[in-house]
Amino acid sequence: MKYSRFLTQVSRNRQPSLIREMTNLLAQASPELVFMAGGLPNAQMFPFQAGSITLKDGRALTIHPKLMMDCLQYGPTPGYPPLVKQLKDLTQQLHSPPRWAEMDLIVTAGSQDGLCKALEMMISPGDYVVTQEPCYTGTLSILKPYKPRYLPISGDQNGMCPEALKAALSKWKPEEVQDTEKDVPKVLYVNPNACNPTGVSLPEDRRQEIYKIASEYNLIILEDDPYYFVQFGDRKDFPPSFLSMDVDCRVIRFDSFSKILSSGLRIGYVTGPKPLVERIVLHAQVSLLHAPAMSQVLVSELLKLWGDEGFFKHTDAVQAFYLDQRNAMLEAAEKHLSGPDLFTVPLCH
Amino acid sequence: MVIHGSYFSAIARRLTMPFLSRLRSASKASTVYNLSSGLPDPELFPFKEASFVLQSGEVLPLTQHLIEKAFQYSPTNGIPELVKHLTDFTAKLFAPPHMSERGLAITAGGQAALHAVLHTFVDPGDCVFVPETTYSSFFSTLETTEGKPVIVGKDRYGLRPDLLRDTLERSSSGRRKLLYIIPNADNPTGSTLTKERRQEIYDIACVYDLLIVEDDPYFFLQYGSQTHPSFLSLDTAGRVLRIDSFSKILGPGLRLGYITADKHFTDKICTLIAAVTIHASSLSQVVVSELLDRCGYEGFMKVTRDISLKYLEKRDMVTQAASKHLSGLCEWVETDGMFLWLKVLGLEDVTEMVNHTCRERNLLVVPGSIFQLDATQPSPYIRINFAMITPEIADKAFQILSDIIREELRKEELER
Repeated sequence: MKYSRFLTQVSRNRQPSLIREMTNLLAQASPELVFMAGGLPNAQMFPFQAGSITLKDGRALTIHPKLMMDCLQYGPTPGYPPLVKQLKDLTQQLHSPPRWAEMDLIVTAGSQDGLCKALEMMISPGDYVVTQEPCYTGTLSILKPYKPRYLPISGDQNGMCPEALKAALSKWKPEEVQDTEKDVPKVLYVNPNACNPTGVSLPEDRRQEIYKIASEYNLIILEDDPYYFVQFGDRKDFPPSFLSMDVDCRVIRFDSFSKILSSGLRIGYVTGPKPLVERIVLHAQVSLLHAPAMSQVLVSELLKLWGDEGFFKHTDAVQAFYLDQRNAMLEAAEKHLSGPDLFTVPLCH
Repeated sequence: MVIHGSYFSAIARRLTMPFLSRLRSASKASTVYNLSSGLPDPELFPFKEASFVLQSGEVLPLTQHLIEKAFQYSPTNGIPELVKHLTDFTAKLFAPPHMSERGLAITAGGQAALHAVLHTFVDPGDCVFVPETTYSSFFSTLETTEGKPVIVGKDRYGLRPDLLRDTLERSSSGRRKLLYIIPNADNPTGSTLTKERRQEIYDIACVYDLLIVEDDPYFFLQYGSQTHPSFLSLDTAGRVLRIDSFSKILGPGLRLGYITADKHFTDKICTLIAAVTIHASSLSQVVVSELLDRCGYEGFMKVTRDISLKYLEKRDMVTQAASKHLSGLCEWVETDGMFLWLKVLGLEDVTEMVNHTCRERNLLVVPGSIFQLDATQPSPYIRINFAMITPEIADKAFQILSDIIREELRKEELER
């Protein structure tokens, strides 16, 4: 795929920050290296030496002095290396992206940060954006200053309707717009699970159809999936993600720990085609440097302590809790708000 | 006083605080039937309690109540307790005029603050006045606003007010919007502006209607007997945007900094923060807030003084090693901060030498050229970060550098 078609001029102009690149070198440095580059302060002077976090299951995460330095010192922009590896392994395990070798991952300050960077990478003022309707307000806030031309796609209790998507795009001929850069839609935004705000989820067949249409019209799919783990039902029955069917390498996926581990830590991650993730990394180099290191280390240590079994046991518990909440809410709604077509039963969250 | 709205970029003007962010800030604990924003239930977060051991041996506990705060969404401009601490500190340290009309916005580090400030105020074509050498990432951060950098000359004491005036006089097209400056322990030169220069620069900014972005991450690494007033202390007109950072004293991994400016300015900056990161890490904020609570103002000043003395030792180590190995080969001045700014004598440009020869011999230092607007221009300067040196490392590093410079000079001699 020719990714430059999707980039704004600003994104194309981004160059690597030399200082950030030098700090990356330190991570792989040999002991022979005399490092007097970068703006790294002396970590031994920071007032925090060590720490410990007690979990609700009684176990503890120990932050020994070396790990505390990882929490407090500058780190690489793509993310704390052990966490990046864990998240890549998790992504491969859950989604088996068909073109995994051509993809990359960056840890961001919450998935909002990743989403913001992805949108700013591709949307110039007045550009088209294909969105679900209604749409997550956080996305609309990011886009507002760019005054985009929205193509809102209506949905029903199974989410975005492929027919409506086809209809909205029908004013263009696919073969004519494949390579066109201006005045054509190039970006599709979707919450596949527990859509915010409607709570509905796309079943597998709709995802396949939407992917096919996106492929015909050469759209990048922004798969914003913070509620992935709070889908109700057995994990083995979860419908496949857009990432898992991404034979064209056109999906940028946004994952978040906000609903299952912590929203305050500001940790999310973006997975997508290498050339596009690289642009996001360059943006992060000048806007954030990297996601909070203490937060990244905590998440990494927690995932290490739990292992896969512990992690999925936790997500199952979260899912069960929200299912109870949903049922309680439905009962109250039935009691007080009953009437034809007044509400839909959410399949998640 | 400035007319705040007239400085915002077109993008900033179109941004409003997201509805849900406003809702989150407005929600009171007493609201029983809150079915509004997307706050997950903290009952499900796996963390219960935490404690941090300080270098002093003291323990800083985070109780369950604080843990919930640390791991949940928080207000855009920062956790109220931390905002209060920092507002009080700023008032005590700098006594800014009309402090009650100023706001404080906590950001994900000084870099995030700088990025947010530039995008809030700079339109394509706006003139942004910058010292001729400055923080190397500044130019790439500015580039994405399509603002026009205009270079102002410096000397060993920092930005020259007379050259700023000349440059402003000569600048023709584009709105003169803001001046970017690192007043203390400048990056890369280490110089600290005198009180007189600060007042002159401030007065010039008033005449030419500039905003001043005062980027001050090395504030606590000043080694003189007195610290100098912040531009904020002089700011009668409300045109200063001050960026503070915890990176050099508490740890850059926390990604925590803050902007102090007139409330109209910080409110608008918060609309950008809300759209991008939502807020700075709650955990980082709670940890720092608890530390400040424990220390109090005096205690925190003592912590920073102790850190500053340790960096001063390092500075003396590095200048000693420089005197031993680089006398006659380089020139330098003893400055504040954590950088030594060496000028190599007899060579017009050391960029290749630093990027190749030094690297081949396992010496990683920074060529002065990258701190210029045009990094391809020659520069005889090298920036040395001495934060982590020991006498042995400094000795080894400057021995290597001395050998490399001599070889380079010999090569040039032969080529002539």
